[in-house]
Amino acid sequence: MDPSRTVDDRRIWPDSVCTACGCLCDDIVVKVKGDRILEAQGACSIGEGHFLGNRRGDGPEAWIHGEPANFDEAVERAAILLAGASCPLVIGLQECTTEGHRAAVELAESIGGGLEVPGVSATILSLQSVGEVTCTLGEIQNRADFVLIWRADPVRTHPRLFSRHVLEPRSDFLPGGRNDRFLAVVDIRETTTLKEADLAIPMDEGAEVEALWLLRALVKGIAIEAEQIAGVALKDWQALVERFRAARYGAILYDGRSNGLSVRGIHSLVRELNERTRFVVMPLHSGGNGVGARNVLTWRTGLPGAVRFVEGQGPLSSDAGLPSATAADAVLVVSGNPMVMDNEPTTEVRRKIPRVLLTGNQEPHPQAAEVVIRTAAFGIETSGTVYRMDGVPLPLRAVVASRFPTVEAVLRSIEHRVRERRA
Amino acid sequence: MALLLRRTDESDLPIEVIGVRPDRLRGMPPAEIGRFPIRHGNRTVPLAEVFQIKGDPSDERIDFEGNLRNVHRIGAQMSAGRIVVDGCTGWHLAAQMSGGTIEVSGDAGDWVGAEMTNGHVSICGSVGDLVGASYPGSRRGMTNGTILVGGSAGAEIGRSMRRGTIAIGGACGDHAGLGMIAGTILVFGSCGRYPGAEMRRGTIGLFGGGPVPLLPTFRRAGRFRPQFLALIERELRRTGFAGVDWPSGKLDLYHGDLLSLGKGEIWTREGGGLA
Repeated sequence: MDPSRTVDDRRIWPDSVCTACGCLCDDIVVKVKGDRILEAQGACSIGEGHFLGNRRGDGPEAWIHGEPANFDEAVERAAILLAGASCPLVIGLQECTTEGHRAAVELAESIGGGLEVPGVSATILSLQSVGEVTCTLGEIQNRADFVLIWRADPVRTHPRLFSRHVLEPRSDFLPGGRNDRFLAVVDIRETTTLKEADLAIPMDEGAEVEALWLLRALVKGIAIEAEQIAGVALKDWQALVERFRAARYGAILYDGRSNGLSVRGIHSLVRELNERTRFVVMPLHSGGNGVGARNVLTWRTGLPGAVRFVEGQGPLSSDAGLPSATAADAVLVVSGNPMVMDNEPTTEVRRKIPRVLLTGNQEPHPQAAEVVIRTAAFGIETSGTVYRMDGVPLPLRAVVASRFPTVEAVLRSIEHRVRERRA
Repeated sequence: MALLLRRTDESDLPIEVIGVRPDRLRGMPPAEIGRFPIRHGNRTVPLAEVFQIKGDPSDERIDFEGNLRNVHRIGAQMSAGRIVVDGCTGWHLAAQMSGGTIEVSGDAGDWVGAEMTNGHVSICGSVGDLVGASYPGSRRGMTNGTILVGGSAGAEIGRSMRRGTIAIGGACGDHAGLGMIAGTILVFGSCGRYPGAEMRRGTIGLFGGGPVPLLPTFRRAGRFRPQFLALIERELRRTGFAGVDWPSGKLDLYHGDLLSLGKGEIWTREGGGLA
């Protein structure tokens, strides 16, 4: 069903989803004239940049070795490259709908390759080892009378998080809105979020793990000998723990890019807090649909972060499998910048490996990969399903038509060619 | 006479030699050994396609030679016999092994002896992360056996280990003995951050000297020379773990991790102190 209406020569799309940050605000009113977006009502500054920065891409639809090519030639070339590889790898997938993720899983299976979603391994590993006590943003919005922001700056990175979900909304349980809630912020820098806090704890850089272990000890009532931990006096940490105890419903939000022992510490702390009062934890993920990729991978293969398909076997875990990124002999980068993939071993290694790049970027670099295929811009020119950072799926609608096919369509075409070649 | 497997090509594609182990190949006719399926990239190929095969494994010994850096799972799940590797191996060496001996003259990758239940692994060079560790989602790492490393090791060695011994001649990375349930880890070089985080029981000896970066949930317990040290030194010397500087005087003892049971021990050289 098309919910848009036309007023004069403008098309108005109500309740559009903005994919600029992990909040995935779904109340944006987008006004379009022809193929230009004139206004994104209700969007924050990041959201405005996302909607208004979109321009109709021009130039060729694909490049092979930096030379302009048509779509069919590029798909054919990509299929030859991927089907001929002995250890192909599909990476990226953040800027892609759930439908695109499904197509990527099917393509990876047909070429016998690996599939990796970068940057989620720490959250997944901690989920597998200590679990995750979590909820939806709606629950935080209605119930959380205590919020701790751990080393994140949502005022800057997720501008509408506080006003829509976490701090300001009034509810039956918190009729006073902001006045009924307590905001604590722990960070290493003077951030904008830190300035809004009722209790601000600026700690030393690189000491998060000590601080988390200390908090866990204080929550459990274990006596600690040190007077100062992570550059903060013990009594300040104790004040924070008193706040934990006083909370009826607490929420801890941290940067989704955090890694290693910090994530495990945060998740364990929340688990232990639940012995006294209700507490939940949520990573603040960045924009795009990385959460969706994790969901699709789990329901299609049973493995959330990285998987590989080997002839005659089911999907195998590659979290603990093989150094696939260095071992690959062909890489398909789906909707991402190939230069900033965060589990990239070294650019040197990757550069030698032939690459296929699918990109919704309006001005892609023709030399960025052996084959570059342009796709409709994610979040603006594509319809489908996207996942908010709390795991709630939302419908995404294309507000502007694109000259280029969707990621899903390109992946299906490549898979079709691969199967044709095999036959 | 041993079975000799010599890698002849130089391709970088991952090769997984699952099942190529003395207890499995013993008594197999040479032609059948040549046809033994292994993984090469995303394909399954016969062993003879990647390795030149000589000899036979009747005496339960397999020798590996050539470029083995991308040959993974050597000796994985082995239950008896001996594997001798001349060179450097890939990941998952000796993973889930339950008996026998593995010797490597060079380095090895991540997951050496992961979840092993028994046996002896000795590596002259350095190793990657997660030595003797538990696989994701698994509750226990190694439950018995010995892993000796002459060089240095990466992060999270002995994660969730339940029993057994890991000795590292050089330095080790962060989070050694993370969530350790029991067992022994000895490190003779410097040590990364937060050793013994969430350890329940077990012993970690950090003998590199210098300050040790411990978590606030560890508590000083005393300074003395433990009797077990002489026993473990004698035992490790007997198995060929040499060239390290064993501490001669008293040691400092810390107990932790108080967050999880707190019966673990971290031993450091006298006056090493906290970082």
